[in-house]
Amino acid sequence: MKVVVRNLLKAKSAFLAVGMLILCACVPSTQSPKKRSVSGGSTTNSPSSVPATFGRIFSDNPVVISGNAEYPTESNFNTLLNATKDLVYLTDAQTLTNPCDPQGVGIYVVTTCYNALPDRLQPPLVNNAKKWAYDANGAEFVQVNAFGHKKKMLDQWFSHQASYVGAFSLLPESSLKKDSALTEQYFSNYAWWFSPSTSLVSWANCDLVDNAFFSPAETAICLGRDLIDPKFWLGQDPTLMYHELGHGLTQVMLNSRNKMEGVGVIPYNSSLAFRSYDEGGVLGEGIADWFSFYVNGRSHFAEWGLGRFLNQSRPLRESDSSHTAAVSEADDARLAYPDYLFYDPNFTENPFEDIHYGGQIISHFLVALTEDIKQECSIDLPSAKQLTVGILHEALAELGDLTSKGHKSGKKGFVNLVDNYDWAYEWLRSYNSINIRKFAQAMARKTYQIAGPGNITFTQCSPAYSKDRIERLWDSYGLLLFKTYNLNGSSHFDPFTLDAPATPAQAIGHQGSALSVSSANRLRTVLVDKSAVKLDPAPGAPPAFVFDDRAQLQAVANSLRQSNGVILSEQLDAELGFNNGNGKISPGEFVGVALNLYNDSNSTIAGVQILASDWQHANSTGKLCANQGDNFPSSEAEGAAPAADPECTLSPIFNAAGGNPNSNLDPVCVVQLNEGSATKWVQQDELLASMDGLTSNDCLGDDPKSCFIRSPKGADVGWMSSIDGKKNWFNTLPQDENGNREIKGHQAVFFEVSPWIAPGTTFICRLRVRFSNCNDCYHDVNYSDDDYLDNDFATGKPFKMVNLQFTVVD
Amino acid sequence: MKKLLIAIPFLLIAIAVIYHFDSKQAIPTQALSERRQSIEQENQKRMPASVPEPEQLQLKPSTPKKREFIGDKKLIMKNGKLKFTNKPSKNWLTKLEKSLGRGSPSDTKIEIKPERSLILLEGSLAKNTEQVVVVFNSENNRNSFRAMVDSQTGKVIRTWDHTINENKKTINLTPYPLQSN
Repeated sequence: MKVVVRNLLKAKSAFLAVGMLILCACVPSTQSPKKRSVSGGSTTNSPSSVPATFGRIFSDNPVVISGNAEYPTESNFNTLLNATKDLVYLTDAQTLTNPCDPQGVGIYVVTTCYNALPDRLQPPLVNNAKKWAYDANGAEFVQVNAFGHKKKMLDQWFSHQASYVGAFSLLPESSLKKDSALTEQYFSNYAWWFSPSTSLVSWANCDLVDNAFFSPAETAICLGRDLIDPKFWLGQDPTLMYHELGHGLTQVMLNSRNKMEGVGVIPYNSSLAFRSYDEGGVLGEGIADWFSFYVNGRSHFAEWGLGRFLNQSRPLRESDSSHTAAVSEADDARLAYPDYLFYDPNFTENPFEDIHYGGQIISHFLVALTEDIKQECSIDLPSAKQLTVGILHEALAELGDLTSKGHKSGKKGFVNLVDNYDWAYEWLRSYNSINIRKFAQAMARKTYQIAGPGNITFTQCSPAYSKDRIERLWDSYGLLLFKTYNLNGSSHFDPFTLDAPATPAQAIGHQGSALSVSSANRLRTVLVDKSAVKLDPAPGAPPAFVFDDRAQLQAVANSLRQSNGVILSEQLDAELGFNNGNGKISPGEFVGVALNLYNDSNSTIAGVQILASDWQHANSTGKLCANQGDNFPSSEAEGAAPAADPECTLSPIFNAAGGNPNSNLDPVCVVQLNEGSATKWVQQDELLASMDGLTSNDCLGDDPKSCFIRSPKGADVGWMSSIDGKKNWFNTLPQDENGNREIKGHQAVFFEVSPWIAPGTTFICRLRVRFSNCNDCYHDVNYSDDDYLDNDFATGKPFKMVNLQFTVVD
Repeated sequence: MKKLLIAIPFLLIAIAVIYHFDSKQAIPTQALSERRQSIEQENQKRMPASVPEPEQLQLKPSTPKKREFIGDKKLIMKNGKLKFTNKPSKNWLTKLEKSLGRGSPSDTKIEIKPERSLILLEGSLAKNTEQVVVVFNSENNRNSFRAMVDSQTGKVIRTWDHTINENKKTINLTPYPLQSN
């Protein structure tokens, strides 16, 4: 759920004032919820009207039940309840809490699996009689409603999960089992939940205005309230519970393997999103939206929670009436990537960059896949949902695997580089993160293996969901972004010794068939060469934009601290007192830099990722490798390693000990050092050595090679949602009604600038850029377009190099 | 005498030149000293009033619990011993709280909940760490994550399990064109 604040408070206040005077019939509804008979609704919802352990919950949200898009909060909400149809079993406990028994046989049960509280640190609602019927106008009902719908969705998911895990994973070795991400330890290791003893709590009366969240750290769902109306709670809308719980189940699915084969060896959890905008976040929101369809099969969600006052409810399929006429379920009219990244169906004239709008592409794709599986496999909708969520689970479990094996018969390095959790986490976070391309490929791979012809002895779909159908559906959404299904994974290790191979050709990831995509099926998806990306060539165009306003960077630092745990160096002033807002990079500052990228192709590129992470671009003596695509430095005299230096041609090899025998990964920024009459480019430790009076204790961190300029982890990856053809990134950003474009922090990478840098010192930061619909960022022509091996992402090979040069000034 | 009078200015010039070139690379020691002093003073400052005691008091580590191993210790144990890269410190939590609060707005409450003590096996070495949950509370804003913390220095090694907020505050930035060199 996304509450878009821009102008909404103003709009809402105006609406409330004017709307009270204007008859509701004058305000057109953007959606047409079916009117449901509310006969049987009473004016009260009393405990005496229900048996013990039962209660009543809304069948849907108040807009859908009443058929009124402007259903007033002054109404008696009890009339929305049907005395018999809305009567459900809730819990046998005296508080809103339930166990989970995923297999339904009393084994591997989590006793206090999920519960409800009013808010954090508040006591639970206690009902000794266990009669969970409360006045639907009150706050207690909201807790019951939220709890009841959480139960509804979890019951369905556990039921489906038990079926597909049994169907996919427990077959004999000769069958699909070997390709499955899920193992026999799935239930016994409690990989199906957050932990054997963790309770997923929902705070249904959360004291948060116009907001909701899922907190994996507190294993909690918060459903907030309205700014103005004390009777309006987001928990009154079941579809918002489905969405937030969808985030929770995404977390569970993504970490399934970390709890199975990773138990006792993986201390971290994977996640999709890391910045306020990135494609992992787009995926997360889209999947969460889809979970509403997963439960109720409807084409729209959050009509009450987001739509009633904020006009921000969202459709889930192209046939929904809220869409513009240009959108339909025809193959060439789907909500395609990247065209609809900024699309707000409520305000089509005001495109906006936000993960929730981009997420609509993913939610619509998943709904279409569900419907397609239903049709192609000749099964009913519940079965199609079960199969789709099983495919999704398999894909996410593989992508989030920090053991790196990917699936039961996988070898180390299949995904996320190596069986070292720190390296695997870094690859997931930065070097080869889960973007829309990676997700689309994984979903295709799993669909092929589970419902398609990928395994002839296993039939979840009969006749099999054809490979051509997979590719055409993916392409209709602009998601046929891959040239192979990468069945052989991305491991750079030797298939027999599991040690480093002699040549990449011998690596596991280049063995066997990757399974090629039929290029004839790529009609709508456009792949662009990385050479199209460059710095804006317009006369006078700056190479980048700098952000150094003190108040703004304080806010950025605070946001990075709270969202990513980024803690700035103690060499910088705690209040960023050196930030002077003069647009220059000065000693002691914390600055953001957004490359002024230009797309020289005729097609939009999307999911543009700018990496300021450490990478392999120097040899062991600190000489810079000039063969990384940027021809920098231009000579050995200027600091380049010898042309044939093997340390610049060998790919890095990562071992489980965390070592990289070929070479280190070095910080991106190097410095110009004056030596007599010559200058050369060197790593920052050489500058430190040349400066009297400074020691490594005066560096920004522990690494002398990032002593003076450092991009802290968590702030070292920037994302630009898209860049239109023949435009730069700034002119691609949507404009508001005043024609202004807003720049947010996620487009920049951030640097700490040491206070000890002498003004006049010049740096070059060798930044690497790639994007999701890139032709040659992922496909290695030397291996028939098989995906690059994961260790290749430590080099410049898969990226477009963009060097940023600047001089630190006072 | 005459020679001496001629030599002295040259000597002074030479000293001035040497001083000038030295100052290009060297940091004035007085400034260095002052800067180091300010860092030390900042480290010794008492905690600002804006970072109060958490509601659930967790400032003092509880009775030392058995540390969990992450990884296969048999792989790296030599002579029945592990080689550790750090030694647990009693005030790791205080150091962590200080670093998280540094630069944090005065209206933000920070809570730290220790979850478990670990020994992370990294190749041939072992490191003592603490796993915590960090919660930031301010008006109409709540964020949290898990963190792995060095048991000696209190430094954050890695964070994960970050909150997924639906309505995140956005920060608009004012761009300045970078002057090309």
